[in-house]
Amino acid sequence: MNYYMSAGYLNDKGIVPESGFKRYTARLKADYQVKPWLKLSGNMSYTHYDSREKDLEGDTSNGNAFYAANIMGAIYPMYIRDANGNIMKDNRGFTRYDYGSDTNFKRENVIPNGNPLASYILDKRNFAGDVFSGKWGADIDLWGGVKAKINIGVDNNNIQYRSLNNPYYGQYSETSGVGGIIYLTTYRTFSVNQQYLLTWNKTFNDIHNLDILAGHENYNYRYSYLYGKREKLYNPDVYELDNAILNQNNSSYSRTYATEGWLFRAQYDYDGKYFGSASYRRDASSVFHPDHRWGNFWSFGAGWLMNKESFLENQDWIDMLKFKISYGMQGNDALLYEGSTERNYYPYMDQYILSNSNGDFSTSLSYKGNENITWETSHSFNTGFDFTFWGGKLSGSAEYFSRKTTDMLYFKPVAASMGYSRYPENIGSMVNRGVELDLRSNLIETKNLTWDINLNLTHFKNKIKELAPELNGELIDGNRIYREGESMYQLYLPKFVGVDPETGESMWALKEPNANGETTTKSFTEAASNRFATGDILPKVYGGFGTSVTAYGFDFSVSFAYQLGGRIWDYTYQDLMGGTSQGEALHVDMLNRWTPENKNTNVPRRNVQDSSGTNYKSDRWLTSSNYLSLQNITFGYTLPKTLTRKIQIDGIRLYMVADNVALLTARKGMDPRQSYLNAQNVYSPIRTISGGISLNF
Amino acid sequence: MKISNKYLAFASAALMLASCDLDKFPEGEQVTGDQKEEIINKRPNLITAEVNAMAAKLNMFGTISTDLTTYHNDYGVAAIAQMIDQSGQDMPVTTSGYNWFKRAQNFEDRVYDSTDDELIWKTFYNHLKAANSVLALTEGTDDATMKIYRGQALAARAYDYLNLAQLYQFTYVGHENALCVPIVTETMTDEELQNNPRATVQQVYDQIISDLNQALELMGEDYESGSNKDQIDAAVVHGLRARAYLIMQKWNEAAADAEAAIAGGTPQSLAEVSVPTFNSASASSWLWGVLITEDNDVVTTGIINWPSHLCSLTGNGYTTLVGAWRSTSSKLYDMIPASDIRKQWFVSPEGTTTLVSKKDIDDFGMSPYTNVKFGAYQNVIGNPTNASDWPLMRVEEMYLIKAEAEAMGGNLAKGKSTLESFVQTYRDPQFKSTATSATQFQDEVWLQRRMELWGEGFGLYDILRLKKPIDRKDSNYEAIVQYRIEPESQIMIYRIPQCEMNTNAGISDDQNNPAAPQPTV
Repeated sequence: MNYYMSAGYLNDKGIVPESGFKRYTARLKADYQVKPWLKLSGNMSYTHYDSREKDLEGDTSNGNAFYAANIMGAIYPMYIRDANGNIMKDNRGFTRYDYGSDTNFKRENVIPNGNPLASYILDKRNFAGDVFSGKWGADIDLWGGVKAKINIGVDNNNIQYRSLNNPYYGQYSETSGVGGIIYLTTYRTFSVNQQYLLTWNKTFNDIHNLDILAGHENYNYRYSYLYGKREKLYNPDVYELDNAILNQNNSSYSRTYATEGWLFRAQYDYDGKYFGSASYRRDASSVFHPDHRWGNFWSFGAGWLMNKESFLENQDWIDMLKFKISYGMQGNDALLYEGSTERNYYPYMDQYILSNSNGDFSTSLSYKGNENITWETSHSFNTGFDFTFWGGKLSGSAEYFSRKTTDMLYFKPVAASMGYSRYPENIGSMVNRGVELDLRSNLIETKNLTWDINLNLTHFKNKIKELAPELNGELIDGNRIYREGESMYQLYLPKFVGVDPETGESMWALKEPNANGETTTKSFTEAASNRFATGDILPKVYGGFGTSVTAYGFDFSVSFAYQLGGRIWDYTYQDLMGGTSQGEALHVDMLNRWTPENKNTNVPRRNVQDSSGTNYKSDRWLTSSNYLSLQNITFGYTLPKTLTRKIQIDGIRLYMVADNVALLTARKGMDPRQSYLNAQNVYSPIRTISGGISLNF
Repeated sequence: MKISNKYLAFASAALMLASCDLDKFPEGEQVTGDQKEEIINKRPNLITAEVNAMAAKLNMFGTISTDLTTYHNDYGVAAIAQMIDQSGQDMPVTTSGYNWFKRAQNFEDRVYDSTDDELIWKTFYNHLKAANSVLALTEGTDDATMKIYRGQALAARAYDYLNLAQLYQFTYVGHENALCVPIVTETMTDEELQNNPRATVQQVYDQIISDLNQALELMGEDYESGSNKDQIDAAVVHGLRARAYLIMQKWNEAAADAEAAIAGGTPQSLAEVSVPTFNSASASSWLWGVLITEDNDVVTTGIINWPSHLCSLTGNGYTTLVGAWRSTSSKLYDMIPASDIRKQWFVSPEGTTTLVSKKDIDDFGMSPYTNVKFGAYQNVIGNPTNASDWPLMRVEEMYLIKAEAEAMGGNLAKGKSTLESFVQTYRDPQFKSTATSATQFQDEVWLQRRMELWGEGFGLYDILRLKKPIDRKDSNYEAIVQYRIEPESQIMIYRIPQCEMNTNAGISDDQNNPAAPQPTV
């Protein structure tokens, strides 16, 4: 019997006021050889966590500090001050923050009645949860090399989320009539995964190794949600529903999902030199209608360890050279709700929302289903080399990949006059093809000094192979356009051609000359109907590089990430170059706007009557998405082992680490890393610098 | 023995624990089509749930909002009413900041990719689909209750076409052959629906009248919905038909239908409208309304509902929290006689009104001309819950239709008498009509409509029907939107939205309403 136990505790006081994270963890693992032919094992872990935070990102609401920092004009104060300029406190001793509504610095048009910093302090938000994960297994030796394996995994996640909007200041305060709000939500996830496998392992004549696996697997998932809310708090520090008295609202529902599959795999290798494998899976998902539930997926692969061949035996510079090639299929059944990150577990059924209509039931259509919906399949082809040459002076891998996705799951737009606007379908196929290169080199490797560098690079192109036939090769969805033979990352926007030097108005191109022979228009309503495909906006290449050095106990490493050759729609810049709400901030490029004295410019004149025309969507806002990011700098010193062993410690290392150190982009303030399509008010990873000591016993 | 033990152990474990039920259904969050049919079979009276879906679609939060983007003007037909009023000349609202309908006011939403346009289109067509679903379910029925449901669905459909026809094309008279909106009926197949061209104005109005005639036949003249004012009854069908005939200038039919509708309610008395009201369907004058309860989505969102954007006395709304007041135009205010109670529905230039105390006006910070017509929920001033009902049809409107139709139909004296008796009894005891011709009288009635139905979504409709200009000059409208737009200018009506143009093969780009230049001051 072997066993392993561990326990842990973490208490992290956050950097932002009123935030922090506490966690308890425990793990127990054991395996026991019950009989010579039966071994049982179990592995259970449990975590309890408790985190207090203020939700920073997400919307353009009054609570998003990043939105406020970008859009609020810099003339508005954060605090309320008295006649001498001192920050005031109220009769409870709280610092007075300026909400933009109770002093002469009214800002009704920009984040009114809100102050994100005050929200951090006065509002509360807490997530607490228990996560349990258990795996149990049985290994049974049946006969003659055939083994059976049973694996059962259970995952349970119970989260409780509580939030309190304070009754003192802000949109929901006592003075506004609401008196504070309490929200409570519980999310419970429970899933069970069962696997029953048979394996057979045999070696013939010491060179042929064969490994066969067959099995059945199934997965069952249930998610339950319960929500409650009440207004008008009594005690401003207690986050329970009974502490509030008005406007009760509650809701609950469950979602269920299951999959089942049969799998077969065979692997063969000849003398550790030639490798081959083939596999087949037959999967079903509860997401599809019973008539379209099952999908078949197979794959095969081969490998060749070339350095073991006789014709390469004398090449000492080759330490390892492996060639690999594989082709496989994989199924995907994850269809999301339109405009959401939540999965739709029942896409083949029409869905209705039940509500109260003056005391009686009302079921109104919220989603139209498609019985024929079935698995999305991706076909991946990979081939490449893994190599180590010159004892590690050059090592890495080079790979070519081509991944074709067929029967893509997509919400196809339909005529809105039908009463619903989207319909899920397996709509077509597309392919992603590219190369990946990963290189590493140990330039210097001596006892006291090592230096290595690394570089990786990926280049890929996306192409839509075919769309559903009734679309005639083209699908326009909002600002995106999908065309057969072209990249799916393509926008459909008016083409900005500049500013009229005489009047300062924006001009956009027309698809065809109009009745007067003009090829441009100054009316954005006309520009809306004259849009052009922008071409592929994907970056041409992306990856990372870095280096590390160790010398006499000191170690230093630095790593970068980069992306080149793409374009992205800078939403924040577009907002900051429009700005007609009183008090909104503007980008400094506005200083270069057209005026009668500054006629030759690319920035149209400011005209509050033409607010849409000034910054109407167009390819003007497409900016290069190139970036170079200094991801990490680490610097440390390890005390010599001869010293530390004297005090019974195996090793002491002092270190300093800096993460997300710097980002260089085409426009200061824009972060193109979170999407291929647009950049807006995102919560960029923050720069953190930390240091410490680590001890090894 | 040992071998079979092992096999038994493995096999029994496998059989016991493997359970593969792949038929999964949602529990609570939605109801699927199959679950619904099962429930209807077990509890047949629940077919009313389908019928009630029609009323629910008029009060819908989330027609265009998604999990990722919330639109605060996404609350059903009451939001469309705001667009209709702010496109007119009687409701100046702030042009900067938190006016969620500013694009209706400055006509920037007349581009085909505007979300406001999408909201209008989808609100009515989603409601239409709910009506078509009821028609499909009640096909060929002989049951009395089912026939009433059928009638209600036909009337609901007519209501949608009436609104769509007025927003997406100029008025009936003079534009009978112009392209209007696609007609969608319950018998059309999916292929037909994806290739559905714009019908002409004449065809749409023919559909409206035919649906309303059939509705009345099925329902019976005596059908009354009593206190369930969200259900369409015979009076409402007459009212809708009166509206349609008025637009078509079929005066005698309009007057007859208006008279039949009047039997369905009593106008609110002078005393009743001398306090902020128009917030509850229990009022005697309401023939049809959207009944909103505190648990509805639009109320629980807090500020995404009509009182937030219109009522000046709410505790939780855009009007009171950020000063996005809905005011009347100073020009209209000056035309309301001092003896008319409706002048008190708005704060005077001196900052007073008999409807609300000076203290409350100052506490809320209301500016001159702000409306106090719409009361807070349950008449509790500063109520943060916005569950007030929304009026869709009041009997007062029927009196005004009757008066106008009688005069324009040739009997000026009768029209004047109808108008005078209505206004003198219920709004202004000193009112006298001074018109000497039918067209002059029509303008008098128009003024009465602007005063009586202010804020309820009639502004742009009347301007288009009467072929009037939009004249905001020399008023309290902000300088940058003080347009004067000539009658029947292209910019007044909406363009078919992108969500339809990109997906309906029956409407090609050049068949959409032409793009028009923005108005200038």
